[in-house]
Amino acid sequence: MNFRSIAVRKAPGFRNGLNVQEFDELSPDINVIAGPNGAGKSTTARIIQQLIWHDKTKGLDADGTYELEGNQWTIHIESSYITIQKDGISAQPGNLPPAEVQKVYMLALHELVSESDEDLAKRILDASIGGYDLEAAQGALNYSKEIKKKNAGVYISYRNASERLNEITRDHRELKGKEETLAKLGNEKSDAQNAGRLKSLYEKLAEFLQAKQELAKTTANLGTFPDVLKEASGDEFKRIEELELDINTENANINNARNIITDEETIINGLPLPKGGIDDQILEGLGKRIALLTDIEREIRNCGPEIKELETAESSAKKNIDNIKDPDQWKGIELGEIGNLDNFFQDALTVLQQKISTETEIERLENNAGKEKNDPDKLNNGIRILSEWLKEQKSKAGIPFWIIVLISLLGIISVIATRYIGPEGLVGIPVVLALLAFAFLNRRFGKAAQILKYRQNDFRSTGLTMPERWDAESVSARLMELMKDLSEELQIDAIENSRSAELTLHKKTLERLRTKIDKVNETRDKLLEKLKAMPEFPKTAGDNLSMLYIFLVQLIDWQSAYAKLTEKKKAQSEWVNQRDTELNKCNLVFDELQAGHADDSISAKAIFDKLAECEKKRRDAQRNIAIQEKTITDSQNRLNTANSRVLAVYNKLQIDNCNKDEAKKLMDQYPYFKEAIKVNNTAFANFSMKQSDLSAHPLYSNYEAGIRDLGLYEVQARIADLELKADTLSDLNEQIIKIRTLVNEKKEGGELEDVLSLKKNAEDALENLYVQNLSSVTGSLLVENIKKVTGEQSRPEVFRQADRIFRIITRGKYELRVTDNDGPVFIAYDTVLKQGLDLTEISIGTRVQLLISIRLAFIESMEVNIKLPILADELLANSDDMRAMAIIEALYEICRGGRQIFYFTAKPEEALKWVSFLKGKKDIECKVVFLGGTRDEKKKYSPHKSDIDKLDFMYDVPEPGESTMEDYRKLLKIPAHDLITDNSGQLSISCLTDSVKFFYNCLRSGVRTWGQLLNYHDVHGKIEGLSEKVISEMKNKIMLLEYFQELYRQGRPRPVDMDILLESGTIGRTFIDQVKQKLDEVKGNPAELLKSLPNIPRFRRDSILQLKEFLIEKEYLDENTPLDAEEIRMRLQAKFSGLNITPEDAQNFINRLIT
Amino acid sequence: MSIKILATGDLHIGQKVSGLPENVESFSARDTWKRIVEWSIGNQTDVITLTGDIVDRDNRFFEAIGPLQSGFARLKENNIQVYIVTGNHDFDVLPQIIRSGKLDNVHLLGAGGVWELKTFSKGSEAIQFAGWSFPSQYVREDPLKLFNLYDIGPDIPCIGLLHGEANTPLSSYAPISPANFMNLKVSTWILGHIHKPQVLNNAAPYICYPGSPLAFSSKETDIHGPLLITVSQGLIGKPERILVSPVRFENLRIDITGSDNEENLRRTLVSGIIEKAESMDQELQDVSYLVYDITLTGTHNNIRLIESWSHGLTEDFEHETAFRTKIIVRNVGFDIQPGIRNLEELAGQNSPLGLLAQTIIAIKQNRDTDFLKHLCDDWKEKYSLINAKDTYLPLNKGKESDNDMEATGRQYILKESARLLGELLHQKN
Repeated sequence: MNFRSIAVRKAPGFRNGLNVQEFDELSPDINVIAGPNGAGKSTTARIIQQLIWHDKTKGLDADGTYELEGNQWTIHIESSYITIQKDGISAQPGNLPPAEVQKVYMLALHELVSESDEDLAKRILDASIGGYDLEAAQGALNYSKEIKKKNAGVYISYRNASERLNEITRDHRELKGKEETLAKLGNEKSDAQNAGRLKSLYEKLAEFLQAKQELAKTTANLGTFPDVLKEASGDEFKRIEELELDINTENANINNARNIITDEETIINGLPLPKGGIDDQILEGLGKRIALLTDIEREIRNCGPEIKELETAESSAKKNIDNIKDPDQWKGIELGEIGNLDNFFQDALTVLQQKISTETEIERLENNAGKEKNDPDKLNNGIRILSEWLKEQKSKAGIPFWIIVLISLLGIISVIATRYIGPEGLVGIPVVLALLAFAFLNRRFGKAAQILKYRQNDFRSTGLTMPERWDAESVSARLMELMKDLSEELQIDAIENSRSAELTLHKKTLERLRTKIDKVNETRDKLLEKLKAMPEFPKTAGDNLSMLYIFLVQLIDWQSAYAKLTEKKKAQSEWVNQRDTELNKCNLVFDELQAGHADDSISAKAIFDKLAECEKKRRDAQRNIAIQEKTITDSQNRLNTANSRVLAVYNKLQIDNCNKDEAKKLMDQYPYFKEAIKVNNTAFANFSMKQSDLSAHPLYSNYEAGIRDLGLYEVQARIADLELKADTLSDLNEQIIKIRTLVNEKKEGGELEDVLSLKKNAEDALENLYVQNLSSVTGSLLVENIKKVTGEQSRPEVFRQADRIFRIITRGKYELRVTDNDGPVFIAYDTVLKQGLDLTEISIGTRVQLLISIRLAFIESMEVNIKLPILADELLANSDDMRAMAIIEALYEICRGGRQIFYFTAKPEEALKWVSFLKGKKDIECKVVFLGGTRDEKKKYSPHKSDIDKLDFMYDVPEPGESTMEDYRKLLKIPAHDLITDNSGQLSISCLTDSVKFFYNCLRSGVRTWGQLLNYHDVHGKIEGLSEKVISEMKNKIMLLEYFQELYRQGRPRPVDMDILLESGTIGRTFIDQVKQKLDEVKGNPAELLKSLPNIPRFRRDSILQLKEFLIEKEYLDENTPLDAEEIRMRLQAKFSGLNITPEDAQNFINRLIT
Repeated sequence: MSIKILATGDLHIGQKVSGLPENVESFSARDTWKRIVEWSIGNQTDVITLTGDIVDRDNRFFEAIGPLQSGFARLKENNIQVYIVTGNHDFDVLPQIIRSGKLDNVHLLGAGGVWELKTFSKGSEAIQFAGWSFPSQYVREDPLKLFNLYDIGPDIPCIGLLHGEANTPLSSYAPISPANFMNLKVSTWILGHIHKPQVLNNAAPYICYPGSPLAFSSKETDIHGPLLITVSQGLIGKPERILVSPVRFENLRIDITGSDNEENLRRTLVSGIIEKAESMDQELQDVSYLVYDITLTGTHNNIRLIESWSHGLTEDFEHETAFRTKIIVRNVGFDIQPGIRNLEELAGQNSPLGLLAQTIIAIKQNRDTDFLKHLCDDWKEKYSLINAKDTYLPLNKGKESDNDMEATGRQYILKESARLLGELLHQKN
C-alpha cells in the first residue's frame, strides 16, 4: 500500500484542515514530513492510519489515494461517513491487519534509543511480540500468583468476628443452660425456704424449753428466804430508825417551849398597865378622839385669817352705800324679788336703745319727704298733645306717616313702660329722641292753623309751659323736655315709694317697742314702790332707772359681805366649844388609867402613844406564851404516836423486845428476796411468751406431736441441720436473679445480632478478597501462559525474519543470532570480524537497527500479502547523527523492500540528512514536505522558494467619493450580518461607523471586520480616523449587537452540518447518505431536519429523540419561544440606554445590521 | 365485613442487614417485625400469618425472643390473631416462645409435623388455616404427602401455611413438589423458606413465597414485604404487597461504552443509577436506602482507566430521591470488553493480542484451544490450592464438580483475558 495523495479538509485541532499542496502528490517510497511541534505531523500520521483503518474518524474530513496491488484506491472520510473505492468502484481492501495493531506501524524512533540499554534484551523480546509489555500489564492489573495468607487484614477481621461470635454464642448457650437450671434452682429454693420455716419452729421450741428451765431454777431460789419477808415492804428497819429520831425530837421541843413561857410571863409583869391590860375599845376610842381634837384645833386656827379678810370686804362695801346713814337697817332687807335685776336692766336698756334708734330713723325719713314735683299725668297729657300735633303736621308736610306713628307709639310705650316697669322702661326714650331728632332735622313740616289753635288750648290747659313757638322744631324741643321731665319725675316717684315703705316699717317697730317700754316702766315702778318704803331710801335713786340700778347693786354687795363675816365668826366660836369638850373626855380616860393629864391635843397624843406601846408588848408576850403551850401539846401527841408505831413495826417483823439488831439482820435479806422474786417473775413471763410463740408458729400444729417430747439439745441439733439448709436460700436467690437478669439483658440486647452482622460483613469482605485473589492469580496464569506460548511459537519465526531484515539493514555486516538458555539470549554476529557480540558491545546505531529489524519482523509476521506504510515518528530533537543515520539507512532498506515510509521529524537537519543520504540514489524517490512554522524555520529545512509572489500592504478598494455609507456598502457588496451564524468579530466596520472615509481607510489597510480592527488596534496599528474614542464607541455597539444576537437567537435554530450530526452518534452508517440528502434539503436547519427524519424508512424514533437532545445540548436547537420584534426592541432599548448610545445611533446601527 | 390477613415469613429475627457501608445505619429484623406489627395495628388487620423461620437459628436463645413476645402482646392488645408454623430455623424455639408467652391470640399450627386446621371468624366471614410445622431441623420428606386434613369445610376458604423448599427434591428442608398441592381443599398456599418473593402458581391453588419482609443482603434484591390478603364474601382476594423493608438491594448493569473521560463516565453512571431509581417510583416510598451493586459493562479501550475512574463511586456517590430514599453504591464490578472492532480478525494475529482474542472467542463459543485447555488446567490446580488455603477455608469453596470448576475457571479467564487485552491495547495508545 503506497499512498499517493492526502487531502485534509478538517481534522481535530485543524478546523480548516491542512492545506499542504505537497500532499497532492506523495512519494511512493519515502516522505519526510518536517515541521515544528503543532504543525500537524502527528495529525498527518493519524490521518494516514485512519485512511487505512478508519476506526476513529470522528471530526475528520479527509481524502486519500493509494496504490495497492496495482490498483488505485480512493478513500473519502467525512467523520463516520466513509467511502472506499477501487478504481472507482466501492470496495474494501483485503488482508488488512486489524485496526488494534495499527500502532505497531508507528515507530516511535525516540524510544529506540536509550543511553542505558540494560533492558535491551527485554525490549527485543517485547518487540518480538509487537512491542507489548506483558510484565507492565501484569503490574498495572495487579496480577500476582501469590495466594493471600492468613495475615491479610480481611481474614483477620473475619477471624476476629468469628471468634467474637463463638464467644457470644457460647455465652448465650451457657446462659441458656443456666436458664434451664432455673426450675431446679427453684425447687432448691423452695426446700431452703421450707427449712428456714421449720428452723424457726425449732428455734421457738428451743426458746420455750430454755424458758421452762429458767423458771424452775428461779422458783427454787425463792424458797430459801423467811416467809415473814413476803409481808415486809423492805423499809421496816429504816422506819424504826426514823421513828426513834422523831421521839427524840419531840421531847426536845417540849422542853424548849416551857422555857419560853417563863420568859414572857416575866415581861408582862414588868409593864405599867392594869393587870388585864387596856381594852381595845378604850384604846381605839381614845385614839379617834385625839385625832378629832387635832382637827378641831386646826379649824380654830384657820378661822382667824378668814374673818379678818371678810371684815375688810364688808368695810369696803359699806363705803359704797355711804348715802345711807345706817346700813345695818338694810341688813334684813330681802332683795330676792329683784334677783334678776341685771336681766331686767339689760332688757330695759335694749328696748330704750331700739326706741331711740327707730325714732331717729323715722325723723330722718319724715324730713326727706315733701319735695315739690311735677304731676306726671300733666306731663303725659302735654306729651300726648304735642305728639298729636306733630303727627298732624307731618302727615301734611310729607313726613312719612308711619314715622310719626312710630315716634308717637314709642313715646307712649316708653311712658307706659316707665310707669309699670320703672326706670328700665326709659331705655325707649333714647330711641324716641333719636326719631324726634330725625323729625327735627327734616324741616319739611306743615302747619295747620285751625288745628294749632285747638292744640294750643289743650296744651295750655295742662298748665305746662308752652313751647316757644308752635313750629315743628320748637314743639319737638318742648316734647323732648317734657319727656325728660317725665323721666325724672318717674324716678323721683320710685324713690319716694321706697322711703314711704321704710317709714311705715319703722313706725310699726316703734309701736312694738312701746309695749315693751311700758312693761319695763311697770317693773321699775313696782321696785321703787318697795324701796321707797325704806326710811333711808335715797331719793336720787328713784329718779331714773340707772340710778336705781346702781344703788341696788351696791346694796346687795354690802349685804353679801356682811352676811359672810357674821357667819364665819359664829363658826369659830362653835369649834372652840367642841375642842374643850373632847379634851375633857380624854383626860377622864387618862385619869382612870393613871397615865397623866393633857392640855391640848399634842400632850394628849404623847400620853396615848405610850399607853399603846405598853399594851402592844403585853399582848405580844401573851401571844407567845399561847404558842408555846400549843407546841408542847402537839409534840406530846406526836411522841405518843411514834412510840406506838415503833412497836407495831417490831410486831410486824415478829421480833420481841424491840430488838433492833435482829430487825436489821432480817431486813438486810430483803433486797435479795425482792430480786429473787423479780427474776422468778421474769422467767415466768418469758416462759409464757415462748409458750405462746411456739403455739402460734404456723407449723406447730403439724409438728406438735413430733416435738412434744424433744429435749433442748436434740432440738438445737435439729436447728443446726436446718440452718445449713436454709442458708442456701440467699445464694439460690442470687443465682436465680443473676440468671434472670442476664436473660433479660440478653433479650433486650443485640450483641449477638451485631456480631452476626459483623461476621457476615467480614465474610463478604473475605469473599471479595477471594475473588480478587482468584482474579489476580488467573491474570498471572494468563500472562505466564501467553509468555510461554509466544516464546515457543511466535518468537522463532519473528527472530528468523528479524535476522534477515537485520542483515539487509546492516548490508550484511551483522546477523542476529538467538540462543535459548533458560530464555532467549541475543547476539549480533559481525560477519566481517566473524565475531559474536553481546548486545552491550554493539554500537547505538546497530542497536537501533536491530530493534527496527525485530519490529519489522513482527509486522511482517502479521501481514499477509500486503505491506502497509511505516510511520516513523521522531519526536525528540536530541538524536545524534549516528543514530539518525542508522535509522535512515534502516528505513531506506525497508523502503527498498517495497514498503512506503513516512518519516516525521521536528528537526530540519533530519530532512537535510535524508536529502543528503538519498542524493544519487535513483531507486528511491523521496519527497520532503514542510508543515507550518515561521518563515525562518522553513528556511532551515531546504533551499526554498517562497510560494508568496508578493505581499500587498495596501489594498485596492474603490474610492467612495461622495457616496453615503449605504451606497458604498452596496457598491462593495457588503453582505448582511447573519445574526444566527456570524459572530461579532465578523461584523463589517461599515456597520459600526457612519464615516465612509474611515471605513475606506480601514479597507485600504486590509481591515474589513470588527475583529480585525480590534486586533489591529491591540497591536497599536494606525489608521487615519482611528482613536480610542472611536474604539470605545464601537465596543458599546458591539455589546449591543451581542445582546441583540443573544435575544434574536432565542428559540431559533443554528444550521448544522454532517460532522455535527455524526458527532451525535445517532446516525448509523446505513443512514448517512439519506440524512445528508435531507440536511441539504432543509439547508442545514436542524429543526426542519428533525421533522424530515421520520420520513427515512427504518430510522429509529429514539435516535431522533437522542439527536434532538444532542442538538439542544450543543445549542443548535433552542426550545424556547422566539422573542418577537417588540420584545426585542424593548430589551434593546433598555440595554443601549445603559451604554451611552443615543436612540438614533442605536436605530441606525441595528437597522443597518438587519437590512 | 371482610377479613384482612397479613402474610409473611422468614423474618429471621436476630439478624441484621449485612453488606451495607459502615456509614449507613444498620437495619435489623426485629425493627422490621415491629414495623409489621404497627402496620397491622394501624391498618386494622385481623390476622397475621407467619410461615416459619421467624427466629434466626444463630440467634435463637434470647435476643429474638423479647421482640417477638412484645409484638405478640401488642397484637393481642389490638385483637389481632397470629397463625404460625415453624421452619427449620425455629422448629424448637418458636413453640417454646409461644408456650412461655401464654398469649391466646397466637396459634401454632401443625406442631410436631402433624397437619392442623383452625378457623377464624369475623362477623359473617370465616377463613380456615391449615398448617404444618417443622418437627426437627431437617425434614427430607415432602410434608404434603402427610396432608390428612379431610375435614376442611367446603364453604369456608382455606389458606395453607407451610415452610419448605419447592422444586428441590433433594433438599433437607422439606422438599415440596408443586404437583402435590393439587387436589387439596386449600385454595391459597403461603410458603416460607425462600427469601426472594415469588409466585409458584398464579392459578388455583394460588401458591407463593411472600419472601422475607427485610432484604438481608445484596443477594436479596427486588421488593420485600408481607402480603396483604383480603377475604370477602367467602373468596380470597389477590395478595397485595406491603413494602416494609427499609432497605432495598439492586444489581445494576450500566453500559459505559463511549465514556472517553472521567466526567463522561461519571455522568453515565449517575444518570444510569438515578434513572433506575426513578423507574421504581412508588416502590421506594418507604425505603430508606436503595443499595446498588453496579456492574459496568460495554466496551472500552482502557478498562483499567475505567476501573480507576469509578474507584471512588462507592464513597462519593450521594443521592436522595423524591421519597427521600438515599441511594448508595455498595460495590462496583466490571464486565467491560476491550473496544475491539473485529475480535475474530484480531484472533488471527500471531501475537499476545491474537492469543487473548482467540481465548475470549473460544470461551464465548464454549470451545477449547490448546492454550485455553492448558490455562484451565493450570487454573484448576491453582484454584484448588487457593481453596485449600487456610485464609479461605471459612468460605468453604471448591466443593463443586470438576465441570463446574472448569466453568468457573473459564469465566475468570474470560474476564481477565478481556482486561489484559484492553491493557495491552492501551499500551499502544
